[in-house]
Amino acid sequence: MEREIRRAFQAVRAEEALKERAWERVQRARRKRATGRSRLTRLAAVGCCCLVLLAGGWGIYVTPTSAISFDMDPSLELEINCFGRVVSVSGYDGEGEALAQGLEVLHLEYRRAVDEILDSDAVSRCLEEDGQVFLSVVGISGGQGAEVLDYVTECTAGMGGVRCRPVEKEEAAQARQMGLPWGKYLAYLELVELGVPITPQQAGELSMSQLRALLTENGGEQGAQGHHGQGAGGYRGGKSGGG
Amino acid sequence: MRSEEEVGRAIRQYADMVRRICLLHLKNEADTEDIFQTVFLKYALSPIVFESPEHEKAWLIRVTINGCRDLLRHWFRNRTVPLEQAVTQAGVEDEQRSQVLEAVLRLPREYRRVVYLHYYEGYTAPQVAGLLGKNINTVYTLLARARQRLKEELGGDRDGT
Repeated sequence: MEREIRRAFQAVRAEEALKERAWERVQRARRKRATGRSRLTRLAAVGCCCLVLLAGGWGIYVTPTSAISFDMDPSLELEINCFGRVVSVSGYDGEGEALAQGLEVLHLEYRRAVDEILDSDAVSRCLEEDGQVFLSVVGISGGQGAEVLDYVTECTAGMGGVRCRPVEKEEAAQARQMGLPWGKYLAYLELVELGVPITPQQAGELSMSQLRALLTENGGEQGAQGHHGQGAGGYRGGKSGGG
Repeated sequence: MRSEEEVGRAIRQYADMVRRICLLHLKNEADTEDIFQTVFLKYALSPIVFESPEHEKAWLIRVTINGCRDLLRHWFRNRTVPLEQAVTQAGVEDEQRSQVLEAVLRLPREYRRVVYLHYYEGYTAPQVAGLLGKNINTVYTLLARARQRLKEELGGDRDGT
């Protein structure tokens, strides 16, 4: 019996994907520590920002130079200023707004904000239920968009189901004009191209997973494109132990 | 925070062990994922300097068991799947091994732990007692009862190594 018990447990193995996600979780914590600030430092940073505002720099501070759209249910959008700070967090519906308010990422350095959102229950739940989250990066001015895209691509490497993609600011403006987050706007365009009779309002009322299902039903492939991070794959450096 | 090399080595070396302990306690993939990640995150963040590989392994076992215990205390976490599904999710396809695993998983939780730590990890009863914070005689009793129950469930003359 003892031998059978050993053989039975020997057959239980941790899946590679499970190990990879644990590795990525640790790496995110490591990055958080590297870029994180103490509450006092953050307050000091906000204090400095206040001085800038008093000096008439408010306009510069609140002007976004890039944006990140988290295309999931509910969708979320961050706007980032030229200092790399989050100056706006918004959702596209009541649930999204509630999520935005609960996240406390306003005025954080954008890398930390992204890490916090990726670590949130909302993202975990979305990946669990729907299996996909898209991060769309819009470069509004300057070269910040590329830097932000590089970062989100790197930090989501190994997160199964998370894809990153760049978006032209003109296209992002059109999405905003229709009142749609970028992911839904893209899905809406593809549905229209496929001949599906849908209005922007109707697209806005459907969840991302419902839109993807509609696309699949009609032969579309929304979300097929996107960057997959290369990832460090750091835990794979040696032989697997017996554990 | 421990280095990337240390954490990578720990994941390679102990991932299967942590997975097995999760299987003893948890019956769904989401909870297993949660605890699995938490264990290695705690390892990475822990300031403890391990005196030996045995010390490190024992620490990971305790952290995993405690993590599972804490999770099970939360009522909203009790989303379970049938035993057979839990075993399949753990990647066990061989029918005989599945039967043995299911028999072990049907034991009360305290029996499962001692069975795993003694029969699979090879800890002696005193060592198991130290790991679980139990009296040595309690461990002997749990082992004897577990053996009896497994014999009844699995049938046949299965004593010996």
